[in-house]
Amino acid sequence: MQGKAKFAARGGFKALAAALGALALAFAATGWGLASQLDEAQARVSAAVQKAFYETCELTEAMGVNLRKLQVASEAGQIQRLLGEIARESQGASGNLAMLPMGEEAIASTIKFINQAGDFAETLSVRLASGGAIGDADYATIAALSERAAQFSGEMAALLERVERGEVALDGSSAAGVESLYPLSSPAGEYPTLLYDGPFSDGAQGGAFKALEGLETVSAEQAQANLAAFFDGAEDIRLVGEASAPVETYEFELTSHGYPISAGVTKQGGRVLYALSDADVTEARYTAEELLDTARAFLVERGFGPMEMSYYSRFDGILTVNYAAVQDGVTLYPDLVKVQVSMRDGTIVGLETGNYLRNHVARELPEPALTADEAAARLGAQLRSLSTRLCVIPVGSGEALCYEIRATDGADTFLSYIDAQTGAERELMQVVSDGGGTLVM
Amino acid sequence: MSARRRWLCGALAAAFFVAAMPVNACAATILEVGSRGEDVTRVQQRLIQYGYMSGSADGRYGEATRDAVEWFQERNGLAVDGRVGAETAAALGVTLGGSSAAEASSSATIVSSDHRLLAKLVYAEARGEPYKGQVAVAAVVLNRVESASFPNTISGVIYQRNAFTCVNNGSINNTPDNSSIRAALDALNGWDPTGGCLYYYNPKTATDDWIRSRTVQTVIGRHYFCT
Repeated sequence: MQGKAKFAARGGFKALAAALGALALAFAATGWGLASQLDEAQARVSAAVQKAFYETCELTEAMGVNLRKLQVASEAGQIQRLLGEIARESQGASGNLAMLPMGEEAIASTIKFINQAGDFAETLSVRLASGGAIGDADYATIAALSERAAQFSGEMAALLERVERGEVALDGSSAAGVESLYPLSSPAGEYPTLLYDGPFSDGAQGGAFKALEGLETVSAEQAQANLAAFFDGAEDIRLVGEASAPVETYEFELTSHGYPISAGVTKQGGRVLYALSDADVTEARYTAEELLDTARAFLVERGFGPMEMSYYSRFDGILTVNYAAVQDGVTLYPDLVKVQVSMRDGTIVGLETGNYLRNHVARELPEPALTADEAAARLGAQLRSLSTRLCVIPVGSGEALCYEIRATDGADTFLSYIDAQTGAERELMQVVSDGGGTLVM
Repeated sequence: MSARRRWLCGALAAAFFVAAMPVNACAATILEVGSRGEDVTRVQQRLIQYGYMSGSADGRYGEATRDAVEWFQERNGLAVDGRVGAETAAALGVTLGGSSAAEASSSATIVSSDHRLLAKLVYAEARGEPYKGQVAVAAVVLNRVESASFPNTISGVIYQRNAFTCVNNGSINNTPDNSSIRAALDALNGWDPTGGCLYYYNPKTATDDWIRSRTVQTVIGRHYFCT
């Protein structure tokens, strides 16, 4: 009995020891597993950064060489090929640069330089394709870009050597590593200022609000009164602050038919710049068709002039309707106003007039050099025109009068924008329906 | 996508982008010549009600119905194909595959991979902020895409090294709520309560002196926004 008990006790002890041992092993294994997982994770991060680094070196070097070639190339096809490569290399390099552990300001100015070089190449490419030429000023810009790109790729190569020698760690884990990785002596002001007809040009940043020019500055009280007149049934309007970009505004909160709304009113002119509602609307008692007239009437009553609905969409119970201004039957796509209507009760709950206030002035529209039929004849051979109308579209930093041609190749629908003066195709978009929706690409 | 194209899309085709809004989940249903049934009847009733078609709704999709649909599509800026898919059905106020016409879907719809990623960022960075502040955070991402000094895609901007805390700590991987999804969409549609700002920070938690040195353009909720 005693023996048995002893045995049992020993057996119990053994079992306990075994269990403890197993537990300890399990702990050790888990710990080791975690450590190796961490190492692996770090290695993965480090490999991703290394790839970004090598690709930046490759792409900027190739970009420098192609910019240099561009200075001496003379054959049109060759020039187009070089411009295409520069744009592609710029796109790749800027994406990779963003992954590198460098200081925020340094990386921003470097990305800007790379982006501008690519944007400039694209601008030249488009100009050449529509019959333009590369002028002396462009060659001066190409020379400046080429010189700076060569310098930058040299600095990256020198940094790569330091990395290879183990002098700097690419993971940027230490603060010193981050600083020493930056290859340039002085980050800012080292790049040429670039002025050209493209969206990334130094001259293209920040557009004036043309529709506000010459208007009086209004007081906060006046702005509040404008807002009260703008939203029928507006209650409890409170000034909650002011903002200074891109124009000076008074910021308000209000309630309209029970919907809480935030709105900005410009100090110059006292115009409503935007309105947004906090409320989610999940109920729809009206259809979109029924509310389109409500939205248009709303804009007309508030003095926006003739507007044409371009498209509308729906998110739960909120309908967003896009209107473009119309002048002499020509749709002005840069002058867009977006209105949001609650499908529960038809209340206007949102508005966006930034594009309209930036661009809406009376245009001097030229007589089209081409007729609609002549423009339609410029369509690709695969396309058949469905409808045609005149419109103004934004191009680069300016605008162009175009024929908007809705066309089909039998399978898909496209929108082609044929320049009404030159006959060049300024844009081609595909209307993509994928079961649930439509996109223009 | 080039910056030039983005600008045009922003101004001209933001609308197209959202014309994209699928309105219901039964998007796969498409009515065309030869289709029959209640869905066809409801489409015909709308076409008759809006004056695109005469006669009666017989539930048979024939050439007369196709012509009416094409006319409706043409007049409403839709792709003209003579078939009724989700988009045309939505424009007609008809829900295909069952329930009544004017019923809103209750779940938020994500229109593209960009929209999804942006909504996730908004949820991770601005959950609990006023709606305007959520749109503002999404707008900052889009302003960066448009800026020469940042990557040229939404994913490039969001995954830029150390650009957003939520990418570093993984909270960007949470599932966005309805409000974040709507805020991202409003920003994609052009709403920007920051007026072009490129940075924001929470003054209570920001540790970076550099960001604090920038001029504050507007304050929304807990965030300061700067250019």
